[in-house]
Amino acid sequence: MTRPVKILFSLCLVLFFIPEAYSQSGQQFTVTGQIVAEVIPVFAASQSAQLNFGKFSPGSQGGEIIITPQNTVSVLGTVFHGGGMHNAASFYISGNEDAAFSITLPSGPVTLNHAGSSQKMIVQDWMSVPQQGTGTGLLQNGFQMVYVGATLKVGTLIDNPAGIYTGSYNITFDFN
Amino acid sequence: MKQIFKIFAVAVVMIAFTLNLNAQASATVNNANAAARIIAPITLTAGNTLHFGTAYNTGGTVIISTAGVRSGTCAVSAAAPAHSAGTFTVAGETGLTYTTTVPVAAVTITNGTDNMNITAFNHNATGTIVAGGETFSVGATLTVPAAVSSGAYTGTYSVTVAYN
Repeated sequence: MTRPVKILFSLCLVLFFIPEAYSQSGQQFTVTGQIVAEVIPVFAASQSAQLNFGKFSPGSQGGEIIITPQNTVSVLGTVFHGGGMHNAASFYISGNEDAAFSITLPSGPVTLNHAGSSQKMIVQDWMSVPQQGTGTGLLQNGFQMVYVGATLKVGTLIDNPAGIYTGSYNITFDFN
Repeated sequence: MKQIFKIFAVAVVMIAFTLNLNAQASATVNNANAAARIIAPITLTAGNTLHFGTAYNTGGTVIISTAGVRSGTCAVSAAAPAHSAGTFTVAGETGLTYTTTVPVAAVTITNGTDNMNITAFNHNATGTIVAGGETFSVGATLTVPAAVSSGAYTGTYSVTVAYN
């Protein structure tokens, strides 16, 4: 290769590569952004068992039937409890593991209505395990059972003729 | 032989002349090159995390707009207010236009062996460099599979800006 040709090639190389190197400098920039999301289970509550005071006879004076959240039954007055089926209420609460929740029981009496007449009975003195309050529930392993008891006020047989008495109440679980 | 040499000589002269022009232009081009070097390179800096906040695993979506507004079918509204659009700051030569590229394909975020997909990335970059830099936002849509494991999911995505 002659000397002029060598120079020519050298210059061509210089002219060819300088603009190329420049075009890649500062023309674009890429960065990485972070993404975060947290997933929790749906907080849910459902009734597993109804509050059921079972079968009983009021007797001459009436009285009270108390079902504790632990499902033990006791009576006051002349009420004779006939045994058989009775239940504390139970609720299945599920949600985020180890999340605390609050329990709010009915603040006052709840009325049960006689199926065949206008006679009524009152349920009051609501109690639960865990106890009512803010953050008293804890979803260990993502769930917890809440048990509810109450006191049924029973009148005389005249006040409360035989039959089935039903009613409903609200219990609230708040996911804190 | 003499003729060929002449042609070659002419060719060399022409090229030399061209190079000379280039060299002459280079004096001018040197100025131009000096001007080109003044042009600030385009830069991009990541700011806020693209944060979808907390979602229920009911199956559905969580959408973060470029305005940072969250919507979707399984977003937790009350319990977990923390969420944000991703932000980036682009800087460079004021007045130059640029193009912003966000992911087109789905991006996966993971929590152990579990994962979720993010799609529909969008941005609100103006496309023109402003003095002091411009911060723009990136939104996207998170798809939450039903009954997906609870926990924190993390991942990354790339954003590119380039001079037009």
